[in-house]
Amino acid sequence: MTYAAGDMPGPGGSPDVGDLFAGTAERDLHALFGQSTAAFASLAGPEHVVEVANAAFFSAIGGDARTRTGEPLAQLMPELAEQGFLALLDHVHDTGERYVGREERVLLGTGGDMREAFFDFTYEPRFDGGGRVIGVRVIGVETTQVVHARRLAAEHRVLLEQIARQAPLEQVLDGMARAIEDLAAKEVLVSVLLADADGRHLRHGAAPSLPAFYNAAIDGIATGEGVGSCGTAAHRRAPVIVTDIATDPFWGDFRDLAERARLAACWSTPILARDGSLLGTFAMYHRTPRAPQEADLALARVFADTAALAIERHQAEEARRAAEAREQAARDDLAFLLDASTRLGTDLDHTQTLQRVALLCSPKLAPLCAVDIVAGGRVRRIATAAPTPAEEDLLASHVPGHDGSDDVVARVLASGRSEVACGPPAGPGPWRELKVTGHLCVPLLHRGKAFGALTLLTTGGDAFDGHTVALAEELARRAASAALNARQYTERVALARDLQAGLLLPEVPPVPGARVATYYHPAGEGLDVGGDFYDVFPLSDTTWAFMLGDVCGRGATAATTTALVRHTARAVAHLLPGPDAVVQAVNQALLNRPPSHGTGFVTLVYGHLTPLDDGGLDVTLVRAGHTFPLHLADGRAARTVDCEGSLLGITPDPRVETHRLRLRPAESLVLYTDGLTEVRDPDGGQFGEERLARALSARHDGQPQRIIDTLVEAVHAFTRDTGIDDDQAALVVTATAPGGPERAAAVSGR
Amino acid sequence: MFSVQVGTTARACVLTLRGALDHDSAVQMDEAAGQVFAEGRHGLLVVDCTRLEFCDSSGIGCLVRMYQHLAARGGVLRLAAVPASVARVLSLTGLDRAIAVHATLDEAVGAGGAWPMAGSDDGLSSLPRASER
Repeated sequence: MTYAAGDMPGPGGSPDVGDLFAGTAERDLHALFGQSTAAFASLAGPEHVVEVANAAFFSAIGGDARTRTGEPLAQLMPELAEQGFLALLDHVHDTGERYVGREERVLLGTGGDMREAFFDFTYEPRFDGGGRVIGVRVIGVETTQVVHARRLAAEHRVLLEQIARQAPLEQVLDGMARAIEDLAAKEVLVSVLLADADGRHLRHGAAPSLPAFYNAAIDGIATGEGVGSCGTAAHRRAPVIVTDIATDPFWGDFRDLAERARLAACWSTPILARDGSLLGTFAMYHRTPRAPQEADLALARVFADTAALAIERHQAEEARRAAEAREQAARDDLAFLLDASTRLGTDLDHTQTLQRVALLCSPKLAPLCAVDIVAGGRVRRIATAAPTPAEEDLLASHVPGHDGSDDVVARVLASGRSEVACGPPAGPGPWRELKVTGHLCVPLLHRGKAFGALTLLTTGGDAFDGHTVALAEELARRAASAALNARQYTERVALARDLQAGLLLPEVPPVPGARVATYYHPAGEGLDVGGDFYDVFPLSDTTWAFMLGDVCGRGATAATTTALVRHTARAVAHLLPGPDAVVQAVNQALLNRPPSHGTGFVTLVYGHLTPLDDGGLDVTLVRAGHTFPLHLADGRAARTVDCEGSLLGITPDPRVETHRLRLRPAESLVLYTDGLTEVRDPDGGQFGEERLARALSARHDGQPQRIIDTLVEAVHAFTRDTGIDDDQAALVVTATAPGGPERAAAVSGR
Repeated sequence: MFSVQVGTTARACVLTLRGALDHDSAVQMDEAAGQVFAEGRHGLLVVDCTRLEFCDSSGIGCLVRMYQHLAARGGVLRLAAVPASVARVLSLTGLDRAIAVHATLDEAVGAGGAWPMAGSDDGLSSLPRASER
């Protein structure tokens, strides 16, 4: 083997070493190892002078500057001294025993060029012909890459595990940066920057070894051509290698900064998402100007990809959480609205409903809330809500202007559209005291026109977002609807009450020679006007008419029918000869009704009474399909007043027969509707006529009210508070004694 | 509990009642009658009360409405096998004078006789005329 000059790299020249070899064996070895990637060196003597070595050896120990022979190894590689290898060589030289090292770590080079390397190697003693050790043969295979790859794989696995475990992003990036810094053979400082959503700026991600002032300074740099390595790499979406910051044009603005941080080179790789969008940059800084090896670039690529994985994972997690938060918010809104609707529906009063709205809004939607309605041509503030009573008073005392474009409430009332803005409302008001920083005014609409307004005010720098405005408008819609329903119901109840009051006798007038007591209990609530009726009116100074009846059904039609019956009777009674003629007239009036006024039938008992000179009452009556009147004497069983007659409004002739009877003093005539006898107990049994008769046979001392009270008590005891299906009415006429009180102690029933 | 069944023969429509006709069940009776009238049957309608246990003023209301509807169209309403309590109510209200009451269903269906309101021929062609008796 000959070593031509060109075979030995470096300026040191290459002595022709062929002459130095003792034997062909050595020569053969050299031939084997000459161009090998395994490092080979032949050392001579106790000084371990490097007689000959191959290119791989020189390359491993430091390259050009150290490609010299004829020097002791210690001189060529002073760093070996502290690392124990010279001692090992001495040992081999002295003992003649070979040494085998596996994956041993050595620091090669000095200062900025120092690098960590691993070798599998052998130190073999060289013998002369006589068996004396003349030197040491070094054969080694560098395993640095294997070791680094293994470490890299391990670190990478750890990072991937962290990513899979959803470790926080900063933790993953920080760990990654440190791993690279540890793994790299030569000192490197890693920086990871994260891109904004719009890809225009880079923010600090992880940089465990860079100084804080540096990180602060580059946090937020723009992506763009020429903005350092990272800015440019981000912009180009391609790696940017700056081997010498001091001279590179991209670092113009940051040169001083880099110098202060003692950074001389920067290699930046963009971190890209799977769809190619920019996630950030991954940069490796060096203390001295350096160009990357292929291994460095490979490392950068691997970690850039890992960082991309971590960042994308993180973004997906954030997006999922945001979506969940939005969904939760939507669910909360819905729950709020449903709850609010329920609460708004429970009040039956228009005003109370709107006052409820204020409580529902504050503090959930805003700290301050006021509800105004237009009433009587003016704007009235009917409800306020605030954190403290003092603030509530302030709010309540403010009267919104009615017209004038100055006032937000007035405008909303006029336009029927919501208004929202930052800051307090324009125009006068206790805004400063309340510290109002935002206002929202929403109309309460009925058929497109505003009848009121809901005002919300925020304090402390908050403003109203679109979401709150939408919620407030929806709440206002529901509140308006609930309030209107409440008002309609109230109005209808009032109407029914007025109607009923107008239909009934408010008070039974004093009837000469008689005491009259009544009882009236309609079955329907609120809107249902009853179908039972009674009346007592004079025909002359002495003769009075009385009636009690039942219109089938209830409600407005029944009401008109009872009115028809009573007023027809009142109109014709003093013109016609007797009760049967009156009832015929009523029947005809019913038959003449237009169908829209109802077609239901009517049952009634109608009669005339006249006081007799020697006491008592002369009574003539007719019964048209109604329950039989009862003739009572105090303490004795009731007698049915039996007379024929069909119900009215069905046939042209109800064929009523007149019945005449005399009520002696303290005797009574009892009229009642079947609502009383048909009433049921909890088991379904009916009260019936027998129980009625029994109740009536109790003593009453000539007081008709007592008869009624006893009867009502008996019915209540029987029903034990089950509700009543049908209207109940009763009329009792008791004859007074001659010379007794002329005026009847007339009491209207319940 | 209450039920009403609608049956038709050549001579008549029959509503068979069962149970208690009261405020709650009256609507079923109205619906059954409505069904019959909607089919244009305005001739003879017989209400079979054999299994009717109870009838209050709401039930009376139903009968009256049916009576009025038929009367206006020349039809006839008859009741068959009315129980005593119901007969009482019919007597009290005088309805038994407007609505014929028969002891059995066959009688109610078979009986001839002039209608209370002689009128148009609608639906009556299958029924015997007064002049034929």
